[in-house]
Amino acid sequence: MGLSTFEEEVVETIKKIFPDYVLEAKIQREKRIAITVEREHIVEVARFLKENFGFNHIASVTGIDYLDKNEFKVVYHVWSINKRSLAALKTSIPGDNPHLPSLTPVWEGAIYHERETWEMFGIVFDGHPNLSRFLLPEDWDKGYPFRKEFKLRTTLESR
Amino acid sequence: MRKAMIEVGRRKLPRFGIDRIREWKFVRGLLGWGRAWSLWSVHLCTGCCSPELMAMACSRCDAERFGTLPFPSLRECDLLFVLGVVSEKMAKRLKLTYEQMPDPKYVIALGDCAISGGLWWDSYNVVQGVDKIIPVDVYVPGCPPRPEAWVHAVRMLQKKIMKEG
Repeated sequence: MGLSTFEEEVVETIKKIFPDYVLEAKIQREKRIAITVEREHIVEVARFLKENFGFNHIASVTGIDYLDKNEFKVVYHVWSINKRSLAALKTSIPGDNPHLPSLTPVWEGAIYHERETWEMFGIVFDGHPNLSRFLLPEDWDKGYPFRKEFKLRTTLESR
Repeated sequence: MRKAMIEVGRRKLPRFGIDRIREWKFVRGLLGWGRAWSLWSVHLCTGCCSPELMAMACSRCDAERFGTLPFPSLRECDLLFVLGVVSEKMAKRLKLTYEQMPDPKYVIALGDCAISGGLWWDSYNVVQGVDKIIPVDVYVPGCPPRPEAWVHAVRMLQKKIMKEG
């Protein structure tokens, strides 16, 4: 009986197969994997994860704004329903050119998550079938509300 | 100028428009009484005040005693309950809902979110109070308001309607 768990197997295989693209792959704790990828190759890694390890359910797509470093980070949380394991697929993109290949060909459910991330952070997902307004009003023109440079009412009034 | 006359049997009476009859004190009182006790309501539930609606409409407080019957068609309703936080996107739908209701119509804003935006008053997408979009008759504070407060609000509105006629 092998000692290695499913998580260790995923991390070792990912490191072995994509040594150049995968910047970091580790087990955060039980049933939690974190993988950091270069943004050009995120689709390949995602497809590999889905087809070989059964990561078939996309739970969330999150954006993080690092204002001081002038970059964004996008995190895809993906569940493997059979193995009860969650993988966080992370990638960082420059703030001047926030483009990322869309993962909708791999996970169809990412359509709504990526639309929301686009309208809140202004991160453009190339190859997305319908990148349009989702939660904000149709005639919204005040910018991207989840970015740190966005000003709320109280901030504007106190100045 | 000859007065327009209407024949009722053998007697001749002056012709009154329905608007003139409405001015009579007795008829006004009657109309107000009728309106006050048949407030069929639309519930625009956008937040977590809506579970209180069940407590208010079901057997304990029994809102139907006061004539407030939750009704599915808003074109036949007189009263609009706004429950919960209204976002900028929802504001257009709220105005549309209000405009589709026939006159006379009344609005009750329930909960802190509907009154002022509540917890999310400083958000990028929240309307700071429903009264910026539609006229409001009664405000009910609370987060969420108790069902008794709802009943009190309905009684206050009934008194207002009966006074106005």
